[in-house]
This record gives sequence, structure tokens and C-alpha cells, in this order.
Amino acid sequence: MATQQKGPQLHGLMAEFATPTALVAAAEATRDAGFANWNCYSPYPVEGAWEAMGHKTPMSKLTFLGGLTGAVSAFGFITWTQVVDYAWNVGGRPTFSWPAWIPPTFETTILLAGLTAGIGMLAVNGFPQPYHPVFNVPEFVRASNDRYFLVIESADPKFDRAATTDFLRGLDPIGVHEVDE
Amino acid sequence: MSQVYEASRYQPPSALDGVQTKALIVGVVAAAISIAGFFLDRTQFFQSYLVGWIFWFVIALGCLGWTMIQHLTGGLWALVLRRVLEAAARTLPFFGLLFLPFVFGMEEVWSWTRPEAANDPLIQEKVGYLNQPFFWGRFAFYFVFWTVLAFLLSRNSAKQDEGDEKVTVRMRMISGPGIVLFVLIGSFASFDWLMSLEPHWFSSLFGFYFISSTALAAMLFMIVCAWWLHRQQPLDDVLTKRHFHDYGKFTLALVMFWAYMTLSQFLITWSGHIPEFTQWYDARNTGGWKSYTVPLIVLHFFVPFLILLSASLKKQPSKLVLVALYMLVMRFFDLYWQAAPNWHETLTFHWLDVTTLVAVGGLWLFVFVRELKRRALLPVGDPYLKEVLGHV
Repeated sequence: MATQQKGPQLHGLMAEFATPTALVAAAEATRDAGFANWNCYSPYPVEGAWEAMGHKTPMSKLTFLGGLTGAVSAFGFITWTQVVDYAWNVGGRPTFSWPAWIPPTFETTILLAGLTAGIGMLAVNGFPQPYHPVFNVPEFVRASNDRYFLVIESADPKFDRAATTDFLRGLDPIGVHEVDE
Repeated sequence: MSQVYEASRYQPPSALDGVQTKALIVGVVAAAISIAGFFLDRTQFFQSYLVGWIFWFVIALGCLGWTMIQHLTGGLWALVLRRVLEAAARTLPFFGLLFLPFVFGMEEVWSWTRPEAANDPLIQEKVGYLNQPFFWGRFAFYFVFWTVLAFLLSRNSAKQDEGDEKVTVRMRMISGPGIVLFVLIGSFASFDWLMSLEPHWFSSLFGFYFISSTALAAMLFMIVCAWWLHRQQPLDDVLTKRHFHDYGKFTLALVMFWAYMTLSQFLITWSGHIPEFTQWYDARNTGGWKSYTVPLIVLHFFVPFLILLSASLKKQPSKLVLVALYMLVMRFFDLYWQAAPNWHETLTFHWLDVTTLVAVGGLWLFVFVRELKRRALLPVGDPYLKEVLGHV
């Protein structure tokens, strides 16, 4: 057991910034310092922050697979109904009249790719999430308005309460807050 | 903020002179060979020349369209290339000039101008539209319209550089009705020059199919220009991977749109199953043309579609330009597919197809670079420019 003081556990340390450029610079410094469990919070997508965090997302591959599933299943299903299960003569055309199947195939591709992108994004982000410790910091309400935050979590292998606080102070923030679990 | 950008800082690079000279030499040599071909095979010359002419003309026309879209949307991705677009749009009268040889070759290209068309009842029904005086009257009208529009926008853009702030709104006011008329007039031009190659056939989607391929061809040309310009002063720090990402996304969308149009036109014809409509597709499904049609769909849609899905590729100019050059080649094959089966029952290529294409391309590139060199490479007076440059 670590010799933690009484009271709530520490979730991490939060640095508060006034500008998006300061956040991006801080994120680059945090990445270069070798931290692994940390995150950025901003009122809107900050250009460069995502790259600075060095994050990889499975979303593009998932969306592609969703679209592929839609295309194959729609084309396959129509083929099965029209050619195998219930072959029907439509205007004397061949039973395998693929041109007519392209529009529904296309629509299903878009539908499944879109749903995968939407639902997958929520799942990969860990939503729905009714509780998150960052909201214990009163200043954090401004994350949805005009402030930019960077949180290094205590779960990070390199995390050390004193040293990490000094590190964050060195990034020139407005303030550094302790985030209770 | 007042205007802080110096036109002198964004002067065209001197390396353009070399491109211009090379283009002229290549163009003149290919033109000389093509003219020799004219005396060897007059019919083939005019047919090849039409495809080569349309291929390059469509790029210049599309650049005029993108200029107006830039004014209307205020898109920063096109603002940095607006001088390229304006220069290409100003070359439109040059294409009008290059079309004039067809005065002597109408019968070689458009079968409805041949004497035997008088005995064709279907063509006789259309003679109110398909007759030579009206054809040339429309030709003159199209080119006057495009030229006036291109020079109006270009001249106001030059005034903007000098600090006249009223023209920003004025150019938007011109572009609104301009883009509507542009699509309508472009559609009729495609009916005249491409669709009437098979005078029995018609398709109401053809005009939009043509306009969408115009947008695609011009976007590909923009990528090539942006790639060339981003490798040297003064635009090396202006054109970023963000812009190329945008151009790549547009290309992906337009490649899909091409497939959408192509399939829609085919599906309507296929569902209707009426002989006078299906004959156009019959011609492309027989005589060896089928082995051309199927690969065209794969190479013009599936291959670029799957390649352009990659986000990282779209952000790399040196890779995106390769896709753009490949797609420009595909644009030629698509155009050839629309035109040539009307003349040849079996799949044929001729060396004149290449030389006329190179001739028009070389000469046009010469004229285009000459226009590009006239102005600063960025619209320095544009109020939105500071957002592009990201400082001050």
C-alpha cells in the first residue's frame, strides 16, 4: 500500500491553459516526456492536438469494415432472393440482373458505414459514461467554454505527484489542479 | 486590419519560364505531326482532334466553375489556388479559336451533318436543333458567355489586389447567377459536341454527367498545379498538407459522383429497355468495346475510390499528385469511350489520338502559364487571405 494521505484517491493532475496553441504545445511536451495515460479537454476540436497526442484510432478501419459488410450483405441477400430462393421473371431480363441491385447495395453500404462510424465513435470513447473524475475540479466547467485542459492520470507508470506537478507547472499553465477520484 | 500582404512577395517563380518553353516545343512538334496526319487521314484527324480538344477544354471550363464556387463558398482551399483557376479560365477564348478548324470537318465527326441524314426520319425530326447555322450560333454564344464571365471575375479580382474592397461582394453577386447559367450552358455544349455524335440517342443526364466530369478534371489539374507550386517559393509555406487533404477529399467525392452519374444514366436506359436508347450502350458492349467498358469502370472508379479512402495518402502531395495524374489519364479514356464508339464499330486506337492530345495540351499549357505569370500567385487583397496564412 502506498502511503497515501487520508481522503479521496488522486485521479490525476490537471493543467489549465488559456489558448489552444498553449494546449497543443503542452500536449507535445507531455508526449515527448514519455507519459502514456493522459488526455486533452477543449471546447471544440483543436487542430494539431490530436496529432500531438500521437493517438491512433481504429475508427477508419471499423467504418471501412462496416461499409464492406453493408455492400456484401445487401448484394448477397438480393442475389440469394432473386436468383436462388425466388427467381422471378422481370420484363424478360436475366435473373441475375445486377444493375438494379446497385442502388440498394450502395444505400446499405452508406447506412452501415455511417452507423458504424457514429456508434463506434461513442463506444471507442467509452460512452455512455455517467461519471468522470475531472468534473470534481470546479474550474473544469470552462472546458466547454473558453479553457483548455490537460490531465495526466495517476495510473500513468511515470506519474509522481510532486514531479508531475512540477512538470505541468513548467508548461506555463494558468493553474495546476489536483483531480480527486 | 488593413491589407498587409505584399503582391511583390508572391510573384510567380521564374521556373515557370522553363515549363512554358517546354510546353511550346512539345505542342508545336505534336501539332506538326498531327497536321501531317490530317493529310494522311482527314477523317481520323478530326475525330482524334475533337477528343483531344475536349479533354483540355474541360479542364479550363472546370476552373471557371471552381472560381465561382470559391467566391460563393469562400472556401480557403480554393482561395490559395484562385490565381491558377483565373488564369485557366482566361484561356477559354483560346479553345474557341482551336475549335474553328471543325468548320472544315463537320461531316467527318457529326454524322447528322452528312447528306444522307436528309433521308433519316429521326434526324429530320431534330433538324430544328441539329442544323449547322444554329450549331455555330450556339458555339459563338457559349464562348462569348464563358469569356465574358471569366474576364469579369478576373478583372474584379485584379481590382481587389489594388485594395478595392467593394469587389469582394461584387464577385459573389456575379458568381451566383453565373454558376446557374454555367451549368445550363455547359450542358448544352455537351449535347452539341458529344451527345449529338450519335444523333438518334439522347439522355437528359448527359449534361450533368459532363459538368461533373468537368469539375473532376479541373480538380485533378488543381492538384498537379498545387503540387508543382508547393515545391518552390513563394507558395511553399502557403500550400500545406491541409489543402492537399481537401483536394483529395474533393477528388474522392467527384470520383464517386462520376460513378453515380454513369450508373444512373445506364440504369435508366437499362430499365426502360427501348431500342433508340439502348443502342448507345449496345455500341459500347459489342465489337470489342466490352473489353474496354468493364475495365473503365474498375479503373476509373473502384481503383481510385479504394486508394483515396486513405486519409494519410491525401495529405501527402507527392502521392496525391500520382493519383491525380493517373486519374487524368482515366479522364481521357472515359472521354474516348463516350466519343469513339460512335465512329468505330470495333475497338480501335490511332496514333493521331495521342498526337492531337499532346498538341492541344502543349499549346494550351503555354497559354496557361503565360496567363499565370501576369499576376501575383495569391489574391493579396482578399479579406479572407489572412486566415489562410495563419498569422498577423
